Amino acid sequence: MELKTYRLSGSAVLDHIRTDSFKKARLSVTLTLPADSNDLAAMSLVLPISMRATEKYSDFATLCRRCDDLYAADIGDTGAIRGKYTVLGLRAAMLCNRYVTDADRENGVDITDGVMELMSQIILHPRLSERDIENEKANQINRIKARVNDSFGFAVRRLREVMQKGEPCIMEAQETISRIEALTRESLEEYRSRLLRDARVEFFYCGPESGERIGELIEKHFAPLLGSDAGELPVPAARLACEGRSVTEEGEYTQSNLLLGFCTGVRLCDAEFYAAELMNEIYGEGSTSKLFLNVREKRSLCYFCASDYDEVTGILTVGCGIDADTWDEAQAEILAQLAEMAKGNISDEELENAKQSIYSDCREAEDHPEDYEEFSRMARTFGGPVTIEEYREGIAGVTAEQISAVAQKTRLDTVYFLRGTLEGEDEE
Amino acid sequence: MELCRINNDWLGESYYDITHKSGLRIFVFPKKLTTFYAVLGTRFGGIDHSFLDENGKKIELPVGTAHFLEHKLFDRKGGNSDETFSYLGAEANAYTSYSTTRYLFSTTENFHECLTELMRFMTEPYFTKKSVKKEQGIIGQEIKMYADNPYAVGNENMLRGLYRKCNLRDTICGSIESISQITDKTLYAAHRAFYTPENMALSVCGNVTPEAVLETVDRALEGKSFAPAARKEKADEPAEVASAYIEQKMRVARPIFFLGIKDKVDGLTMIERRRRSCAMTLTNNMLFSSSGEFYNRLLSEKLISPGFSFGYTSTRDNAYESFSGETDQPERVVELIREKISSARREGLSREDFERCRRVMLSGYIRLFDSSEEIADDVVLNSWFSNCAPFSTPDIINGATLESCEQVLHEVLGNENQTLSIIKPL
Repeated sequence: MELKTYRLSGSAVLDHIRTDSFKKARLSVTLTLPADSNDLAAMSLVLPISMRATEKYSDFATLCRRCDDLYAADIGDTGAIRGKYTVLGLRAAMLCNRYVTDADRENGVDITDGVMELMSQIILHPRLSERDIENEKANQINRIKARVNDSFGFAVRRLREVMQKGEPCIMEAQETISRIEALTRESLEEYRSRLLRDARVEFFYCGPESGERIGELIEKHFAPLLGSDAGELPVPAARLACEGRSVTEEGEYTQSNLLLGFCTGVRLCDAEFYAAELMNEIYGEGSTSKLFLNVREKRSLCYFCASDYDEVTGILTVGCGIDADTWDEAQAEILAQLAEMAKGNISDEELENAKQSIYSDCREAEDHPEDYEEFSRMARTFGGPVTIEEYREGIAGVTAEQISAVAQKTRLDTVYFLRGTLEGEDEE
Repeated sequence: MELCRINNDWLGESYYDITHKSGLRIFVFPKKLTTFYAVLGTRFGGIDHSFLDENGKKIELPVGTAHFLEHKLFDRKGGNSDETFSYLGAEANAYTSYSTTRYLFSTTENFHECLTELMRFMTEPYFTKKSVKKEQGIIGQEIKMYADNPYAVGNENMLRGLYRKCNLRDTICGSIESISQITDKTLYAAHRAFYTPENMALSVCGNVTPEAVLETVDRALEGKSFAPAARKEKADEPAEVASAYIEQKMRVARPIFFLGIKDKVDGLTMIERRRRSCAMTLTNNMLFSSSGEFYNRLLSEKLISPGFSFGYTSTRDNAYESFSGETDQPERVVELIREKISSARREGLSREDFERCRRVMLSGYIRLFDSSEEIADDVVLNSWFSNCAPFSTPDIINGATLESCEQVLHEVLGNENQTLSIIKPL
């Protein structure tokens, strides 16, 4: 599978994979611009509101019916702050045109063209009514309040809120709700204008259509978006300072959740990135990791214990659901396993298995073309490997000593413990 | 053994259907994808709390046995299957539903070595008192994790309200108390009873030939003997619900409702049940999807959130319709759902909506064929569990009529045997 990158007008690019291997094609448009905490509310709402109604599709039902008519085209919005950047976009999955019936083809049905037109309506021609804005504000506030419905997800979120306080990517729930409540149609319009003017624009397509045809369709439907010249975005610095905090909160849950946040100081663009990836793999990814084998299998303390490495910030997170009275034992074991890696206790088998697991993921990308897009887009914004092949080569060259070196510089920043106050109540 | 090749020209796909000499059903779906996926399934799930042994004696199993067995079958004498799969570069997993247990792996290499390891779940159980004891702690934490999940609890409460005798009343994992009764002997007995060739099927998708798969299965099962498949007793479930309303308080931001409508499928053949399920999917989408008036009206009136969901679930012996969502006014939303059903029954369904929803359903089916996982598990193995041919779905969808949808609208959605389960904030 080969990804070709086409330069479009302005700073826009098209990542394109031509293939007949799949029954569905994928199309996305991504808008990236530096994040500002003042924009958090507008950022989270601009696309969900834009999807409610457009100049051509007067309400959400009409828009959904248009997707149905395009053979159940699936269009969804994405929005997140990664490091110091806001990354917003639309993602579409659609059947390839070869499945259009003869009758529909004679009537001019073209799924690719239709989906692109629909996406351009959402991005360039939304109808931002007061009613839809108020509705979507309510939905967003409900989503934030509903974080408590998922105790582990809530704990992960609280860890990041404590650990990254003051950074533009995160804000405590009440503060976010206040900002959403204060959002007006004018401020949303102002943000939208800035987004369309300043964002770097990236398109991705994987399917049977040629790059030339997709380029033409982009010119046809997205011309106003192609004039912007976002230029190069600066690579953000890694988080290095460690606070050594411990925060305990209580919630009416049966189980307690223990979260540990570490700073590795290693980002996607750093030379040690590949070693950090393997450290995470050996430490807490999957059912042969040190955390799974020791915290779950050896000590029976939890159902799951896993780590997650954020290559943009360099933050490593470990989480598990436990009984409150085993907090000390679980935390000690989690730290002991990291210390083992820092001491160089990484067996040849562990290293080889971790590499094989990543190689397997790389090969599986052939069946998941969106992974190619992710690599290409992340490299443009945050540095690091541009292709999956480059990533694989980087992983292949890592030694146990290099992994140990990353483990040695990894520092515990924050311990967040969510104590379940209903513990024992449901035990029959 | 006959290799029976089944083609579907419209999809441009084909698969092989083989009954192994042991009795194991094998499906091989050759597909030029990089990822191989294999799943081994047995008709033993969370609802199976007993069986009749070879002498007709009823053997009781603690609630949660199928799920517990799923965890422990990864153990090997002196090792663990996870280690083997990891060494081979594969990812393995397993899951237990109400009616089935499935073991699976995906890999991009060493496919036959992985398949050999997968077949050991069928032939080499290994349990000890110590390992069972250890697992009780791990599963105990899993039970607590689900006890904090309001969506799982609300749904379980709804099923407990809908059913009087059927074991859908009980959770798949069981309780801390019920799993404490499970021993190594329980697990061996359950394995012997349900992990038999005629009770199981293997489904494989990837760049493989049926001959190569058969060769690996032959080697894996060579010299193995199995007990006859255990017989199960079917609960005689009455039409009426056990409880029309169940409420529980949990740490949630606002109420979450689960409305269940009991369907009666006794006497229907499996193909009739598939047709009924298809008609229900179409009817649901016509009435409640985001393309329709109902969803958008309630969304704009802030009565539901975008997570509002609905669907028809068909289990081994039963079926039910369900609706769920977060709302400040659960009783009002349920009232509006019932009004919508009543008005649709009075006024009939729209042919235009029917044709649109049928196209959506067919398109969704085609889209499953880009993934070895979805093909092997969702398309093929699910069909086997439903006693239907994997490629029968397009014919069933194309064969659906507006009249068949109106029939289920009256029979299923019009059924008054309903349970409302609400999770309310503390």
